Parts: sequence; C-alpha cells; structure tokens
Amino acid sequence: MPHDRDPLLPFAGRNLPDAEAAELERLLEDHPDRRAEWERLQALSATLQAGRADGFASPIRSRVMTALRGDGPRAPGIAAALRPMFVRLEVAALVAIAGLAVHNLVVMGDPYAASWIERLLGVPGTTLESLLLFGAM
Amino acid sequence: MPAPPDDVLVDRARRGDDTAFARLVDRYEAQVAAVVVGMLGEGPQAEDVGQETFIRFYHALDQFRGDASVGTYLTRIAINQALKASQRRQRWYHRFLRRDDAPPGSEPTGDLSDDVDAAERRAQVHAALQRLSAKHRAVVVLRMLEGYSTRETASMLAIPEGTVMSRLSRALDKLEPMLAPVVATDA
Repeated sequence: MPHDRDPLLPFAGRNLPDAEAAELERLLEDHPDRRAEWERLQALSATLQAGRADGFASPIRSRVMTALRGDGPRAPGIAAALRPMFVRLEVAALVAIAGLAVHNLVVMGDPYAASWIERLLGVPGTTLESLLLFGAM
Repeated sequence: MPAPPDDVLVDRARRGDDTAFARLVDRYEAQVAAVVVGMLGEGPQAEDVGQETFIRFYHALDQFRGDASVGTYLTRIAINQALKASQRRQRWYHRFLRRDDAPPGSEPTGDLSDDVDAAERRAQVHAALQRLSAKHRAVVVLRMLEGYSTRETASMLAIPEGTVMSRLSRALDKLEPMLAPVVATDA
C-alpha cells in the first residue's frame, strides 16, 4: 500500500536544486498533511545523518599502503600500455584516408574513382566522405 | 600551497607515485567509512572492506576516466564490497550457528528508548540500520546518509529507480518506529 510519505521520497536526503525545491514547496503548501509528513521525514533524515560515521575506529591509510607495497611496484595495465599505440594508428589511418581521397579527387579527377591501392585491396574508392565516416566511428 | 585536486593526484598515482595515492586515501577515508560502517557497523570487518575498497581503486586507476568523481567511484566500490561482505556474514551465520542465533541486526538486541548522547545516538542509528536487510540498508546509506539521488543510487546498485524508491519506503517504515525515541530527542 502506498505510504503518504512516498511522494516526498524523491526529495528526501539530498540538497535540492532550485526547481525541485520550488516543486516541493508547492506540494507542501497545497497539502498540510504532507507538510507534517515532510517534517517527520526531515527529522528522521537528520537523525540518520547524525549517525553517519566520520571515520574508521583506527585509520586505515597505513594498512592500505602496506598492503599495496606487498603487491610490489605498480605496473601500468595492458590497456594503458596499448592506448598510445592505438591513438597513433588512428591518426595514421586518418592521414592515409585523407591522402587517398585527395589523390582520387585531384589526380584522377573523379571523387568516386578508385586508385590502384583500393583496387588491390578490393575496396571502393576513398572519398572525403570516407574521412567523415571514419571520424564518426 | 593549495592541495592538489583529485585528477592531479590520480594521474600521479597512476604513474606510480604512492604518496599521491596515500593523499587520496586520507581525503576519502571518512567518506568510505561512512558507507562501510553504515552497512556493516563498526569493527574489523568494516575496516577490512574499507581497505579492500582503496586497493580495488588503486588497481582500477587505469580504468578510472573521471566520468564520475573520485568520491562517487569509491562509494560505488565500497557499497558493493560491503554488500558482498554482508552476504558472506549472512551465509556464515546460517552455516555455523543455530537458526535462532540470528546475525546481528536481524533481531532486536537492546532497548532503543534509553537516554542518548551523541555517541550513543550514533550507536542506536547503527543498531537500527543493522536490523534492515542488506539491500534495504544499502539504499538508506546511499540516499539518506550520503545524499545521492535516486538515479545515482540506482546506478551504483544496478537496480531500477523504482526499486530504489520502494526499498527506501520500506526501510523508512522499519526505521521510523525504531528511531522514534532518538528522533523525539532531536525535536
């Protein structure tokens, strides 16, 4: 069964942006019973907040660092190690596509022509549109 | 000299600067403690989960892209580790103790109506939280203690927003009578 408090829950326990605060204010003005419910909810929220722990009984920094040192020196992950290589590959591919598109347009005089490279690879001619499509991928 | 921002410390930690990581631990220890102690109560298990949270963060530094803040990222790790620890504790009780020796929190263990000071009030709030199921407790900790929105809470717990709201409603239904004497003291 829905509780009277339920419509108020989206507002509970957080700092409200202006629009939500205004919405809440309107809700509470129109419904005095909701206002009473809201005040109970706020009191409960304040009590829960007062019970929030502000630290561990004994600080854990030294044990965290000791545990990490036990793991040995930190080696970069394989993803991090490979990322620069993939970025360079992407740049190289963009340059190659742009070069082919310009070559087809200027040298062959047809933006949709295929040079010997595309024919060798068995792919359609490279155009400036190909560059945009690659950039969007 | 102003303290370096999180992204600078993360970047330095990523490059192997342990001092930078230690500063992040200092900066976020209280926030992680609030989540973990809220979930598990005070004690060695909470400290173990707090430690594990930071160690997992350290090993995930390469994947951390800054889409969420460091605090939110750590909270996500902490709440999920605490939920796993709660499940382990529950299984342990079921396996090794008699059925009537329920885990702490599942049965009333004391009178909540005693006079309270601040420390005792905190203990009472924790006692009340421990009487909720882990999944209800997680929602209360994230929404009411940590102030995350419904959407953020849903994302961290990988559940629909509607489930967050229904769990919060049920949890508050249980908490309200348990904490009534403390709330009355506050009023």
